Amino acid sequence: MATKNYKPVIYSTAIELPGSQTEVFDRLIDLKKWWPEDFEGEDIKLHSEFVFTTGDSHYSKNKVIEFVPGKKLSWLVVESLRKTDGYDWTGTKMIFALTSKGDHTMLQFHYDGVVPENELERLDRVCDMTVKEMFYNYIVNGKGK
Amino acid sequence: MENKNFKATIEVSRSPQEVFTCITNDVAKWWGGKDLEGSSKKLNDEFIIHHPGAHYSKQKLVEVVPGKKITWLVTDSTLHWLKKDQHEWANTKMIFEIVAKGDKTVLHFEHEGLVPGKECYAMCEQGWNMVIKDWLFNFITYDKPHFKL
Repeated sequence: MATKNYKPVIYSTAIELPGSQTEVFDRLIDLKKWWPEDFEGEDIKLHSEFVFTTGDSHYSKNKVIEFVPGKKLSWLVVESLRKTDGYDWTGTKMIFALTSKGDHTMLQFHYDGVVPENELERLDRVCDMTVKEMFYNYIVNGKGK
Repeated sequence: MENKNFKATIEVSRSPQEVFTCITNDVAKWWGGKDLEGSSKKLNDEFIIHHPGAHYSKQKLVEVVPGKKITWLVTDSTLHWLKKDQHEWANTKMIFEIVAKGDKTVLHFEHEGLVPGKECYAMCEQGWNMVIKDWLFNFITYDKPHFKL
C-alpha cells in the first residue's frame, strides 16, 4: 500500500473517438489487444480479474469494479509491484467514462491513485500515451501492440 | 500545385539503408503489432492488419527501391468507425521516400488518396502523425518500441 513516498493523484485526460459509445466501449474492453502491457485473465465484465505484466519488471492484478456497457469501465489495482524499486500502486483505480459528442464519443480517462513523488510527469505521459496514442490508433489507424 | 495527400516528414540519425530496413522488416513493431500477418519485404509481398471490429487493411508492396523508396497499395480495407464508406482506404497508397541528408536521413511519408474530402481524413491525420512521428521515429532512432512503462 501507499507509503509516505507516494503522492495521491488524480490524473485525467480526454480524447474524442469516432464511433458510438457502444462501439467504443466494445473496443475498450479488448484490453488484450490495445493496452500496452501483456494481458492475462478473464474477459472483461463486472468483477472479472486480470493481470498486466511488462516482461519481468512490472506486475499488477486488477479487478473490474464498474461495468456499464457504453458508459463506464473501472478497475481497481488489487496487487502490484515494480521490481526495480518496489513501487506498489495497489488501491489505484483506472476509470474510463464515455459520453456522446455528435456522431463521436468522448473518452475521459482518470488515474485515481498513487504515484512516486518524482514521477508525476512520467505518469501524465504514460496515461496520455496509453489513451491518446494506443487506444486512439487502435481504433482509428490500425496501430497494434 | 501541391496535392492534398496527407504527408509527414521525419529526420533521423540513421543511414538510408537502416531506415529502409526498419520500414520493410518490422512493420509489426511500429504499426500493426501482433495483429499483422504477412510479409512486407519484397515487391509483391502482402500483409494484413486486422483488429476485429476496428480496423482491417490489406497492403501490397508495389514499388521497392532498396534504400530509397517503398510504396504500399491498399488493396482492401474496412475502417469500422466510418459512417458513409468504410472502405475509404481501398486503392490508396502509402509511399515512403528516403533521402540522405549529410549524416542523417530524411523520410517522407505520403498517404496518397488520404485527402481532406474523405470522412476518415481528420482522424487519420491525427493518427498518422503519431504513428509516423512518434512510433516509427522512435523505432528507427532507438530500435525499440516507443512505449516504455
